[in-house]
Amino acid sequence: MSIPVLELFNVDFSYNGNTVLENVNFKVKKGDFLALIGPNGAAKTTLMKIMLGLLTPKNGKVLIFGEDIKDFKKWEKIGYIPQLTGDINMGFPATVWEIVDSNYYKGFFKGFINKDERKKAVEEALKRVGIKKLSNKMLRELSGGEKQKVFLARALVKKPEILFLDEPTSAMDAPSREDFYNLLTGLNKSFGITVVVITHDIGFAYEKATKIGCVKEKKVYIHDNVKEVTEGHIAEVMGYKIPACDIHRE
Amino acid sequence: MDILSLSLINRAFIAGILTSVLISTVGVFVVLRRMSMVGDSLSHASLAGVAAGMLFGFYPFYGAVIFALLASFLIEILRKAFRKYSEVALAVVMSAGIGLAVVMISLGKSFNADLFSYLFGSLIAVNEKDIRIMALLGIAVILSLFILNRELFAVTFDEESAKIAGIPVNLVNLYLSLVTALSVALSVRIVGTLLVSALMVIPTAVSLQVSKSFKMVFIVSNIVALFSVVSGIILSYYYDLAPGGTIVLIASFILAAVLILKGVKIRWD
Repeated sequence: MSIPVLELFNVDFSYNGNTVLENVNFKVKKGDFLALIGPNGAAKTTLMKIMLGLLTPKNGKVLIFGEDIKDFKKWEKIGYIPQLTGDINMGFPATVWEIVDSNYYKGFFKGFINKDERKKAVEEALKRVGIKKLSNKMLRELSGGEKQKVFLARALVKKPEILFLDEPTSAMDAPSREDFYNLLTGLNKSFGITVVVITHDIGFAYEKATKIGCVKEKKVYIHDNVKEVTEGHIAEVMGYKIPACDIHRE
Repeated sequence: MDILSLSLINRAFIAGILTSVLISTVGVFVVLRRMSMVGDSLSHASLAGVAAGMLFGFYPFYGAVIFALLASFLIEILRKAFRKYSEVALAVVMSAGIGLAVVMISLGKSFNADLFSYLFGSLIAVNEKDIRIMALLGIAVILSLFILNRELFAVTFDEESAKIAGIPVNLVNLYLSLVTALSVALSVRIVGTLLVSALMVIPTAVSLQVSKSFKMVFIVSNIVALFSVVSGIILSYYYDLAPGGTIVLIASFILAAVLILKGVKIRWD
């Protein structure tokens, strides 16, 4: 049996003594499409940052590709798209090409040595996401949907085996959202890239994901069978009540 | 007499060209990290170093370099302590730098021409020893910035993603703090501690208005800084003006002109 791509064991996390995640345990297998849902402030982003090693849990551990995240070095296997409403400067004076290129990192000096290899990887990532024509555009000139695709291409330039996305469609209109989800599903199905995505778009999670994770009241409940999260549950989830999570309760 | 035949002015030009390339390159990263005031904090700390040199009898320029480096460490420590109010770190270091400088100047009774040359910049004060230090450290810093350009870009744009790309973010941040401190300290001879921060910020401000790529931001910023410094040195030489002030005024005029032209173009379009 192959090793799970991602495993969390008894993870606890607190901010200034205030526990926000408690005894979190779950596994993500290769090719899984896990959608993490939950109300605002449920610590979904915190959970993702713990998975990525950006935050250290109080207790427990995270294994990624069978290795403790604290000792993990094979960063080319991981692609990450942070929340674009966060600390990232969207007026940053760089072209789409420069932004995608910046993530092709294989160590000090190696970017200079492997110039042709780098160029090919950037071209491929831009093509895969369908934004090659935007190569010379500045980031600030793009729409919300186009920006998100730039960040997806930036993550794909390393040819990752797992993609982490934090609310990727929050600044998009409905057609752009649909377009982005199709792209993500294609990457998952055609290239076998494992996807972990935080989303408030419950319809998408229900339709496209192979697993749903409900983050609620410090716990994470994983539903391996998406269909057990009924439409009735989803309607209530849209009102930021998550009874889908309650089916795990006695 | 031909301006270039004077060794004094030659020295000023060499120092000016090195200073302008160095400070405007570092300035791009400083501005994009929203740390525009860091130059002020470091330059005031370097003034304390100059005062220490005058008080304790070592070469003031060495004092400027050492104090600026120490101040950059202090800023990083304070920035971590005041995570959400990082500008507090800059204000504290700047105030402490001025305080320390004033106390040491009064103790050493050093209110003299040499001190003023560090405050406002001077062409006459740049000697061969300064040039050697500037050339050695300046070229090393410029080369290292060129080599680490990709790492600096990634960390400046998105620190968390840079970590996940495998870039040693803490090391890159430390490096940037050190080169910023060095660049400020090396520039105080020509521009003066009071104005060095302007030369760090204004060329980048001009560049951000007109550049169409990250590479272009550096090129435009370097050109604006070079033009301001070289023309500033020439004007200050002929009209006996303080070079720091002249250089910064020229850079400010360029920024004003670019903003006006852009405004006209937007209205015209």
